[in-house]
Order: sequence, then structure tokens, then C-alpha cells
Amino acid sequence: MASLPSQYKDASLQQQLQTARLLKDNLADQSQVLQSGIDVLDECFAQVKPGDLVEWGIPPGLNGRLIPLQLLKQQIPLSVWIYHHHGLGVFASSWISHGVDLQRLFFICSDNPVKELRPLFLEDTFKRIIIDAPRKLTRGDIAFVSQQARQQGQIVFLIRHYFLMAKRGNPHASLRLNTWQSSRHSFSLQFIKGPHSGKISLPYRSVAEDHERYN
Amino acid sequence: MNVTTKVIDLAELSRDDEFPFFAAIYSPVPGSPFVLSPTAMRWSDKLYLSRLSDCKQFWLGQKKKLRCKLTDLFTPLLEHHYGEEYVAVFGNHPWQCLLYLHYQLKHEGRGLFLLESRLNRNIYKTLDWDCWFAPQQALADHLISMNARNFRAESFHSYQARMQRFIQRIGIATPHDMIAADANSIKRRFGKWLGLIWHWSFSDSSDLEWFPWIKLEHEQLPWVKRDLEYPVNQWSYIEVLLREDLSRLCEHSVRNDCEHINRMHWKITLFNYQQVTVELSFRHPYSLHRDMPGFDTALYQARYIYDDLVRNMLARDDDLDLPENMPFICWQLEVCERIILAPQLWELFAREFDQIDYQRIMALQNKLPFAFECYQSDASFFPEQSFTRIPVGTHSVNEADHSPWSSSALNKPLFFYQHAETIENPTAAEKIFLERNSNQWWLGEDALQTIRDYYILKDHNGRSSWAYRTQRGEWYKQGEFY
Repeated sequence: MASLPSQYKDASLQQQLQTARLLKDNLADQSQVLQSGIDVLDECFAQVKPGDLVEWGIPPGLNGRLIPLQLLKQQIPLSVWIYHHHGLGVFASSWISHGVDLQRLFFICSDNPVKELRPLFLEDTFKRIIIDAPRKLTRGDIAFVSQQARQQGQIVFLIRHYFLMAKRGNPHASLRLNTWQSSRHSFSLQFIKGPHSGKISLPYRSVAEDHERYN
Repeated sequence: MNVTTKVIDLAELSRDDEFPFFAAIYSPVPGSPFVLSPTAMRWSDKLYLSRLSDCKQFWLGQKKKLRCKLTDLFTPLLEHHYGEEYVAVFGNHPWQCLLYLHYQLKHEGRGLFLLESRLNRNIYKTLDWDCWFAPQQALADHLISMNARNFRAESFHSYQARMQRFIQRIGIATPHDMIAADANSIKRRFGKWLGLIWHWSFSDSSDLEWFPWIKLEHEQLPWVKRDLEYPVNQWSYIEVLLREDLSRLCEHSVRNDCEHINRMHWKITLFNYQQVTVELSFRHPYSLHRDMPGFDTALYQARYIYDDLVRNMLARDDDLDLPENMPFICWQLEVCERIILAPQLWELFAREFDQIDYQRIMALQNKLPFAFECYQSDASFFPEQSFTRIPVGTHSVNEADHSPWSSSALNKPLFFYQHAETIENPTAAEKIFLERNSNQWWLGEDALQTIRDYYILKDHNGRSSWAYRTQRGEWYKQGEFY
């Protein structure tokens, strides 16, 4: 007769449930999907799991995209960065210098991604999809993207070119935050929605080399 | 210490970007002549010529993707199509390929030979007169069949006999021993055609120069026609009908996974009997049979074309009293270019490159209106030249070697202006000096003008941009710190 696994040999049902929960927690710890190698940042994104949509508020000129970039550095699955910045193209050397594997990160230019790139959202070829400051993205589009991400176990970063506010929410996003370079020596992250709240600061040197060495 | 040793392969081409223009393929078993290129010629029953230069970019792309040598790329494909007994010679002129192929057949050689490799070039120099004269009979037959101007078989044969007597008399062992002889002097002494053959035998050029190239026509490519019972203009209806047509197109030929489509024509007749022909082109060869029954890829491409067509018609007919969307009354769908690709080629895609399934990415890309952008670093400190855009899956293996250059871009923005914008002298902005850069100053007339001083500019709102100043004092904005 087959015997019960040792972890389920507890006498009461309640104890069994507790053991099961502990096991689940252990598994969850092992499989943190977004990792940057920066402890503070990893702690903030520990709860993000496949199927989640993370909304970022990053106005142009404030260098805030370096923060989501940190989460695409460590052993990333196939990912796509959808962008549309007027007259601007990808400066690949900078991405490579930050340690991004450009064999796994693809770019595509579109200002209306859900309409123009629909097949991309219907397949799970890319496990990370970054939608960077789309010009056209309706609430229906966000609902569609979020639903597809849940079905296909993808993580979607939606980057807005303005600061997010709690007043105008996004029910589809599990995490909403603003990021920007607050001074020469630090980056700031302000959490609007999610397990964390308030503002944290990251030293510049943990993200990139300090300008000071050039002066 | 990891020391990489480069072994010189004498049977391989010396330069990485070198590619032969023609191939001569002998196969005792029948096979498709269009395996390597859509342009081919039947030289004899078992021998085909193929013009590889028509597909040069495609094959070089495959070679780069698979990170292999030309012989490793083509050998499994040729084995798949022609079995083990084939002999293929790749070279820059079809006549040279034929001569060398004859030599290999005579010596019972098997497999693929790159004529421009060091080893084969040296062997080619040892070819005797038998090898030189033997393929001339088939050449004469082709010249007769195409009714070549100034070609008469009797006079050609008498010149051949005269040349053979001359060779015996002066005792020259191989054609190469007589390489100093000019083609014009051969022509004067032994006639125009032997002069041309002499020229083809030793020329470095890939020009055919009177070589009788008789293009082998493809068998008729499949097509389907649809006469609509009522005019339609909505995509939702058109899509259903097109899916049926694509299915009918598949039924026209026996399923063959090797067969891939490059282009299709969609000939549409509008309500006013105007005919519009649009092209469904696929970035990567597309297998219709494998996309059954949904035909998603073909239908996505048709949808993009339909949207463009409707947009153009609306713009054109804006001031006319016509229906909002001009309906279609019939159309014809036809395959206009296809290529036979061995399955090995596709299996290799999935196996290589650190488990990245490029075949899947390419299939997805076929469904999109735009291509994915892929980049790799280059060895340059000059920002515009420090990376290149490359096709999907063609990253080179030695990318890590560029790290000293790419690491210099750490304080530069993620996005940049491909054409730097002129700006006024930013007196009010805070300037952080980054570096002085000079690009290939030895190539320009004024070396000073290639020098740029790079800065981060911060405006009063704290927004940063990336700019440079030339030695003339002009300022340009090159990027934004998004």
C-alpha cells in the first residue's frame, strides 16, 4: 500500500493545511520571476508572478527606464520591447552596456500596439512584453492585454510617459509605480498600488556607473 | 587561459562573406532542380546548373544563423534531395563548375566541392585536356538547340581537332600550362567559340559572356479563382472566403513540407471592374500546408494589405459618389514564387542558439506588419557605429569581444536620434562632460571636424538629454534620457 509523503503525516487536517501552505510559500520563494540582482528592488517585485501587469509612470528626460531595465538583465526569457518615441531609435550599445542580452530582447516600433501587433499578444512566444509609452491604448486594449497575459503566463510592463496617481487607478495592474532619477546619485521609486507603499531610494551606482568619475 | 586557435580549412572559402555564383550538380537519382535557387538550367539528364547568386543573401543569412561553414550548410540539404551519390561543384562561372565536376566524376569523387577554396583551386590547375574537351559536346548541343549566332557544329569540331593536333605537337600536358595564352589569340587561331571557352575556363568574372544559359521554367504554380455571388467589402466576410481559397490552393498540390512560399499575388476585381494586384510577401519562407486549417499567417498579411487598399481607395474616392468601401466582385489567388527547403534546415533552427526558438519568432514575425528589430554591438567608440541592426537570429558568436566598446556606452541614453538635431548653445542648461570622441579622423580631410565633445544637458526641470559639441562650436542633440 502506498504511504503518505512524510510532510502530510501530521495528524490533524489543520496541521496538514499549514504544512501545505508552508510548502507553497517555499515554492513561491524559489520561483521569483523578476530578478535584478539589486536586493531592494528584488524585494519590491517579489510578488510579481506570470500573468501580472505592472504599470510604470516614467516621464521622458528623467532616466527612469533604467529601473524596469534592471529586471530584464538576469537570465530573461524571450522578451519584446514595443516602443514609439518620435524620431528616436534604440541605442543598442547602451542596452548592452547595462547587461541586457539583446539576443533575447527584441524591439518593435508601434504607436498602436494592440491593433497593429495583435498576433504578438495572441501567442506566448514572448514571456515579457514591455509596452513603452503607446500613443493609442484604450481601456479595452489594457483589459485584452491583461487577459492574454494571464492566460499565457506572461508579464507585461506598461510604461506611461507621465507620473501615475492613485486618483486614477488601473484595475488590471497588480503593481503601479513611478520611477525617476531624483538626483545625480540616486533613483526614486514611488509605489501607487501593490504590496508596498511609499517611496524608496536606490543609489545611482547600483543601477549604473556614476557620472562623477568622468568629472 | 582560453586560447582560440583558428584552423585553416583548405576546402572552405577563405573569406566569410564570399559566396559562389553558380553550382553544377550531378545526381544519379532524380531530384528537384530548384533546391538551391529558383533559377536553374538542365545541362544534361543528370546534371543541373543553378544560379546561386539569386539567393545569395538568403543563404548567407542561413549560414550566419547556423554559424557553420558553407559545406556544412549545403551538404545535408543536398544529401536530403539527391542522396549520397551526388557531386556538386560551387564556383564563380558555370563552365568552371562543369569542368571540375567532370574531373570529380572521372575520379569517382562524391559530395560538395567549393571551387574557390585553396585546395580545389590547386586541383583545378591540374585538370588535363580530356577534362577540358569532354563537356564541350554538351555545350555544342545547347548552342545548336538555342540556335546561337555564328555557331556551326562542323566548323567547331574542326577547330577542336586542330587544337588537339596543336597540343599534341607542342606537348603541353594541361590547359593550365598554357594559361599565358590570351583568349583572343586562341580565338584567332581556333575560332570564336574555343576562344570563349578558354576565357570562361580561366576568367575570375562571374559574367556569363555568351555562355548558353537556358533557364528552366517552373512547372505551373497553383492558383485559385473566386467569382463572388454578391459584392463584398467587409473583412469579416472576405476572411472566411480567403480561408476557403487558401484551403483550395493547398488541395492543388500534394502536401510537401519542403515547399515554402515567398510571394503570392492577390488579383482583385473591384465593383467598377478595375483590377488591382497586390502582393502577399512573407519575410521568411512560409509553408501553406503547415498553416492549415487556419492559415493565420497568410490571412494576417492579407488583412494588412486589405487595410492599406481600403485606406488608399478612401483617400482617392473621397470626392466621388461611390460606396464607402469599394466592394470586391472577384479575385484570384496565385503562388508566384516558392522555394524547396529541406526539413533539416528547419530542425537545425530549433536546436541551435541556446534554445532560442527562432523558427517560432520568424513565424510570428510573418504575421506582423513590421519586422522585429535585433541589434548587436560593433567594435567602435563612435555612437552611430557602435552597433548594427541585424536580421532575427543572426547574432555572431564573438559578440562578447566587443565589450570594451559597448561598456563605454554606460552613461548614454537608451534611445537616440538617428539624425542628430541642431540645437542652440545650451548656456542655461547644466552640462556634465562625458567624453571626447573622434571617428576615423584619418579618412576625412579635416581631422578636427570629426572630434565631438559629449555632454549630458540638464534643463531647469531636471530633464536630461545627450548632446555633443563639434570643434566649430555647433551643438547637436543626439538622445534623450527616457
